[in-house]
Formats: sequence, structure tokens, C-alpha cells
Amino acid sequence: MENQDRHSAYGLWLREIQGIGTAAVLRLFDSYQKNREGRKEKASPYDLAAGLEGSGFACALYQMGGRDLAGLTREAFGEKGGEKYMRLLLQARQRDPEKALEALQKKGISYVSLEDPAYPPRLRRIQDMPLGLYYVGRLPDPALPCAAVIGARIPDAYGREEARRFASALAGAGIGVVSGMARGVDGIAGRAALQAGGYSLAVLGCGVDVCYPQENEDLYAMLQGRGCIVSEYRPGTKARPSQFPPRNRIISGLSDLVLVVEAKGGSGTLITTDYALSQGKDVFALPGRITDRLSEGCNALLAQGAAMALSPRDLIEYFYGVREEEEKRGPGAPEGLSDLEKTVYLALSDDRPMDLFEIEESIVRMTGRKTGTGKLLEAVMMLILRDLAREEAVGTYCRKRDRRRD
Amino acid sequence: MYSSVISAAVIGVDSCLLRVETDISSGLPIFSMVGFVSGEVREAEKRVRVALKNTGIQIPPSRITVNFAPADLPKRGVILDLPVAAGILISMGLLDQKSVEGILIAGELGLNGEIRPVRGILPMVLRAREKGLHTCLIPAGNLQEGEAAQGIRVVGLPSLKDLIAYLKAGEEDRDRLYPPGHTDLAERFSQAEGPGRDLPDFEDVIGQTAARRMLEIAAAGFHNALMIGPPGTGKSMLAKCMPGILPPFTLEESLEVSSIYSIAGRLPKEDPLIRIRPVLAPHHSITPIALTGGGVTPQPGVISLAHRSVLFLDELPEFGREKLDLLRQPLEDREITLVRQAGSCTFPCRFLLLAAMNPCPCGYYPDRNRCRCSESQIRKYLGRISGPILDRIDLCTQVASVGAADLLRPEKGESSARIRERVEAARERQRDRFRGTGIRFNADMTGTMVEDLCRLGPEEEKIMESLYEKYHFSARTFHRLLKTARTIADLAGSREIGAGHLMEAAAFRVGERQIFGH
Repeated sequence: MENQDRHSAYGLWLREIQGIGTAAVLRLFDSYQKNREGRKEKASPYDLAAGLEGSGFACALYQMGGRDLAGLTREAFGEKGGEKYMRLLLQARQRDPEKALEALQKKGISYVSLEDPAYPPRLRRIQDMPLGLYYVGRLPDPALPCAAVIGARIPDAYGREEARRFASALAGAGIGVVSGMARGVDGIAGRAALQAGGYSLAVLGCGVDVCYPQENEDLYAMLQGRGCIVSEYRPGTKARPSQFPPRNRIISGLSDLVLVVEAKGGSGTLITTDYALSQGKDVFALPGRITDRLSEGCNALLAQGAAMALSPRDLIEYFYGVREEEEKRGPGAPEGLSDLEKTVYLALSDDRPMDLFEIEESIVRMTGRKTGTGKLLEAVMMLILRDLAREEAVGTYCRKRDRRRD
Repeated sequence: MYSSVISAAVIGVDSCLLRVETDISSGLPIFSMVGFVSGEVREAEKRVRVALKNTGIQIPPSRITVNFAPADLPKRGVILDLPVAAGILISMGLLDQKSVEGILIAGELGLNGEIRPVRGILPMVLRAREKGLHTCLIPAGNLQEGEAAQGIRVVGLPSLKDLIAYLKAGEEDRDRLYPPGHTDLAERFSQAEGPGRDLPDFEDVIGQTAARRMLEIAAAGFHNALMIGPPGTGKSMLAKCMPGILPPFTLEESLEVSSIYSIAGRLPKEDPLIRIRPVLAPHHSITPIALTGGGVTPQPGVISLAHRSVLFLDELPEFGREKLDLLRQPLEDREITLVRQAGSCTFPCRFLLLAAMNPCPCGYYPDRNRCRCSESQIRKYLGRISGPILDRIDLCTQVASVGAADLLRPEKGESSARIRERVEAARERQRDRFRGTGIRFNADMTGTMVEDLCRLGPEEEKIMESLYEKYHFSARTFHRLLKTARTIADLAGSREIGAGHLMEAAAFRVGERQIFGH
């Protein structure tokens, strides 16, 4: 078995002991290191997490003589606690770590533990980092800039379109898109990033072999091939409400910044931004109208000092600095449209779906003339065919911005 | 003595003449009826016996045999009371066999001898006229309905006594007893404009640009249509406006539809011709039988009553998959065949299906400030309508809520009368196109006819290709699109289907757009 797999196998073994979490492992490791280095003072969790990399600590716990183990646990947890952890470890030592890893790999799932150098470095630096991650697909390159794109589970047309536009632009600029594969904004962002040929990673609140929500089955399949699905929960774990808030710390932990597209006041999305701020990540929010309930959360974030995301360029500049070649384009319709089509294009709104009656009214305001319903429908259809408009719900239409402008 | 009287039976929407043969001969006093008769026909014996007694005629104790020919046709209902009574009277020698030659007799008897109204008179009288009979003797309560048939003498009789008096009278006395009706059908039809004025008019509909246009196209080519929109936006109101833009019934159509109503016993008494195309709007709790027709004696269902008119199904998904799927075959075949123990019968049901539904369970999607339905909830809701039903709907659009400003200062829309002018012109074009094919509307074109009659120019073909690329049409959708485009071209008075007509048809199509905007 290769060295990397050894790390993984013992790391997995340690992870799967019921009753021992990150904090306990770090405490054990602290005592272990103190003994070996003759150090007196307690080390910080961050130093411990860094020290764990390549240490072979899990392997040592597995192979350590009974008396040494008893001494170690007593030192770390005191008389009473030490006995409990000692028992847990001894019981667990009866299992074969390598077999467990093999079984996991047979299901196509990999595991990366804190001891593994492949453990995402960003995550190693957060508080309460997971002991390890189960994953399917390809973990992000440590050098890849990543942005989390998150938001409401039930967005409106504005949120849907902007999630799509931002994620697609970020992916196009070589920035990874991290999300929770939830309904709504998360799923749309992940999908858009992959469709733009970029990298996307989803952190699940259930096992990596469970597709939740079901309706994102397509995204789930795409992520396996071209992105990554990670979770700190054991495969087969069902989605439970209590598991989602903790997974949000991984979403923000894996990203350099967090973009909130749409969120109601008190939305679960705001848990992620809290984590992001405590982890020292920047939060961007998309402004909305103050009367839109779906923008309450975003606007509140902006009021508290979040960065304003006015266009994907704002985020791209955050990563790469200002680029020069951006050309300014004035408002106006694209070339090659008939007069009526141009008028309709200008009358449409980017994000508020309008029905024919509203479009007609808007045209009357602009030109003072009425257009027949048939002609109007014809023009709208033409714009849709040329990818300059889209039908939101039945009979309501939005303008699609010229792709070249982002 | 032997006698024979003509009556009729109703099978489905059709009627068939029957011969009621009666024989009275000496022997043990027995009253026997043969000829595939059901319970209520057998009961005629008791009613006839008592009714005759109360009219002052005793049936002698003798062997009475009544036969209904043809014997292989099932006989149901109470209309045979009167012909049986007449047959017995002739066999007893009280009436002359010659007095009933060429006369159809139908009606139910009361014990006191009165003649009560029955169902299905109109199709019977029509059949009698077709078979060359000269007179129909029917219950007085059905007289108006019978007279609607025209071209045959129809006499409404209040009681058995009057029947005897009429049959005893000579030819010239008969007309004096019951002067022939003077109602002229053409005249009655011209009055039909009158009640039309009470119909809801499109000029009272505020906004709804797309829905108006869609209903105009639907009316012109008899296309099935679907309206999607939040509660309270006027979907039902729009449906009620439909009769106002549909051309009124022709006499022939009216008789066809009125016959169905007659069989269902639903003809209005005072004005027994259906002239305005009704909008039938069954509630979604309707039973499958009431919808399609059925029962031991097959009765027409709502879909047949909506023949040549509008069947409006509000809250379409609430009807449930089971009932909606029952509509699949009638939508395709334009008639429904009910097979029951008593035999099978066919009712026509070429109706215009106009459906309405909310966009999601709460009704407010895509207004996310109000709608709280998740995408999966919306999908589930829409999934209650099966694909095959959607496949038979040619047009679909949204019905939006109208802003307060427009409600307060409503701008009058185009009136129904003006829309109807265009619809009638488009119908005229279709009549010319389909002359001699048995098809009346663009929506009814077969696949080969579509290929033949909806040829596209090179520019239009290019548009069709790009539409195809964008939406991945099925062949069926492709044909539906062409049929709709044909109607739009007809409305515009154009011989060829232009690019614009195609685009408009595509804007109204049903399909993936019905589900969602992504």
C-alpha cells in the first residue's frame, strides 16, 4: 500500500471511531507532541492542524503499545475521560483500516484526512476544521482561486439569472465556484460554472453518495465528472436539518470569498456569511430592491459593510486586480435587428418578467404608438431565437443581456 | 286482431324507427311483450291498462301479444307506452289500422290517461321526416321541440282521449283539430341574435393582450387552448366571452346539438333549439361518467353536450390524471363510443377544449414575493396533466393580473363582434380549403393534409429549422405549429404561411415552456 493510501486508511480509521471528533484528536495530538518535543505550553489548534500533516499520528495511535496509549489518553483527558477514550480506541483497533478504505474506494469514494498533504490548505486554517473529507471527483488545486456562490433555495427570476451570470463569468475567468448544491441559487451556480467549462465543488450536508435534493441529479452527475462533491459525513448519511449549518463552514472555508445572490432575512445563507467573516473571508452581496423580500438578507449584509457585487467584474477584479482591456459599451440594442425588434429589446427588462400587455404599455411609453399583438409576439419570438430574450414563466419575457458585455 | 304502429327508439345520438305489433286473440288472459325489451318497457302493460280504463275503455280478457321489431335492437324507456296503447285500441277494433299509416307515435302515459313528455323527441322526429312519414304524434309537452324539426306535421297530444279523437278524425278534420304550427325556423333563427347580446363581451376584458389573441386564433381554427395564470385574473371571464366570437350555429349544427340535448333531457322547454354555442364548465369534482357519458342506458356526457362548442375546464390539474386521460381518445376521434350491456352507442363530441390552470399550487408563480412553492412542488402540480393531453392542446398563454391603474381607468378593448368578423372570414377560407374532405377546421387536418396545405417558403423553412434547433420539437409539435400558423395566416387573410405567422404560432406553443423558464 502506498504512503498516501496509508495516511488515508489510518485517517479514515480514526475518523470513523464514534465518539472521537476533531477536538479530541487535536488534544491527543497535543499531548503526543508535548511528550515527543518536551514542550510545556498548549499549542493552538491551527498549529496542531499544521503539525498533523504527514505526521502519521493516526497510524501511531493504531500501533502504540497499550501502556503508552493509556498514558497518552490520561494525559490528554484526565483520569476519567482518559479511560473512555482508551476504551474507544482499543475497540476500534480491532478493525482493519485498510479493508475499510478498500470498501470505500470500491464505491468510488475517496477520503482525505488532516494528515494528508492533499487536505485542502484553506480548510486546514479554519476553526473546527473537519478531521477529513469524503469526496467524489477531483479536489481543487490549492492554487485555484475559489468563490462560494450561495443564496435562496427559491429565488425569483432576478436571482436565477444573476446566479447564472455570475457563476458563468467566474468560471470563465478561471475561478472555482463552491456551493452547497442546494435548490435554487446554489444549484444554478454550480450548473452554470460547469456549463461554462469551469470547476465547481459542492459541499453536501449528507453522505457524498446521497443526492440531495433529488432534483439536482443532473448536477450531481456532472460534478462527479468535472468537479468535486465533498462531505464530512460518512457515506450513506441521510440529509438531516442539523447537518446543514455545520457544512456551511466548509463552504466558506474552501472559498476565498462568499457571494450572496439572494437571501431573505434570517435565511440559512446568512449562517455561511457568519462563518465566512469569522474565518476572515470577504463577503460580497448582490443588491436588490428594498421591497423585495428575497433581497432583505443581501441588503442587510451590504448595510453591515459587505462588498457590493454590481457585476461579475467586481469579483474577478478582487482576484486578479483591474484589467485594462475592458471596453465600455453604451446602452443600446445589438446590431441587425428590425426596428420593432429593437424597440421590444429596449422595452424588456433584464430581470423582471413582463407579459405582453406590459411590454405593449412600455412600448407605448417609449414610442407613443401601439403595436398589434401578433407583430409583438413575432418580435419577441425573434429575440428569443437570437438568444436576446428568454421566456421566464409561460407568456412572460425577460431581456437576455448581450453575452459579450460581461 | 293484428295491428301495427310506428314508433322509435333512440340509440346514442341516433334514432331508429320501430314497428310495434299487437295481436289480441282468444285464449288465456295473458299480456306478453317480446322483442328485446327492458324493465320500464314491460311496465307499459300496467300503465296502458289503467290509463285505458280511466279513459273508459276496458281491455277484454284475452291473449295480448306485443312485439317490437326489429327484435334485435334493445328497447328502453317509456316512450313506447303510447304506441302500445294505440296498438291495443286498433286490435280491439276501436280504431282503424289505416288511421295510423305514416304516423309516428311516441309518449309516456300516466295512469289518468295523460300523455307525459319524454326525452329524445327531436332526433325521433328528424328520423321520421327522413323516412318519409307525414305525422308525428308526441306529448304536448314536447311540441316545441318536435316542431323544431320542420317539414313534417307534428301534433302534441295532452291525453289518451285526444289521441283517440285525433285518430278517429278524417284527414281534413285533423288539421282543424290541431292547426299546423306556423313557426318558421329561419325566422326563429334570425331572432337568435337577441339573446346573443347578453353574452359577456371582449370589450369588457381589461388587458390580457395575449389571451385575447389566443382565443381569437382558437375560435378561428377550432384549436384547443390553455390559459395559465394566478387566481382572480379573469380566466373564467375570458372563457365566457368565447361564444361571442364563435360564429353562431348553422341550422344543421343546431339540430345536431339540440338532438344531443334532447336525449339528455336538457333542452329548455320554451325555446327548444340550442342556438348560441354554449360553454360547458363542469366543476372538477365531476364523475368520469358525467364527463364522458354512460350509464345503463347510455346518456351523453358533458363532452357530448359540448359538441361543436366549448368545454371549459377550469383548474385543469384538479380534475386529476384519471379523468383527464379519459379525454384523450375523444379529443382524437371527436366522438365517443360507449359499450354497455344494452349495446354500444356513439355520441359525437367535437368540442373546443379550453383549459385554465394556476401556474403553481398557490397560484402566484413567478412572483417570488408571493409564491412560496418550490420547483419540485410546481413540477408535481403540472405533472398532474399528462403529456398526451398537452399534446392535444395547440395554444397556450399566460393570463396576467391587471394593475390597479388599468382597473380604475379601463380602456375598452376590441369588441367581440369585430373579432368575430375576422373569425368568420378565417372560417370562410377554411371552408373553401376543405370543401369535400369532411374536415372543417385547420385543427382537424391530418398529417398528410398538413404537409400538403401548409407548404413553407425557403425563408420560413429556415425559421422552422432554427425553432427546431432551439426547442427540439417532436414531429407532433411540428405539425401542431404548422396548423396554428395556418390559422394565423387565415386570420390575416394570407394565402401563404409567412415567417411572422410561424413565429406567432411558436410563441403560443405548448410544451417544455409550459413547465418552466429554464
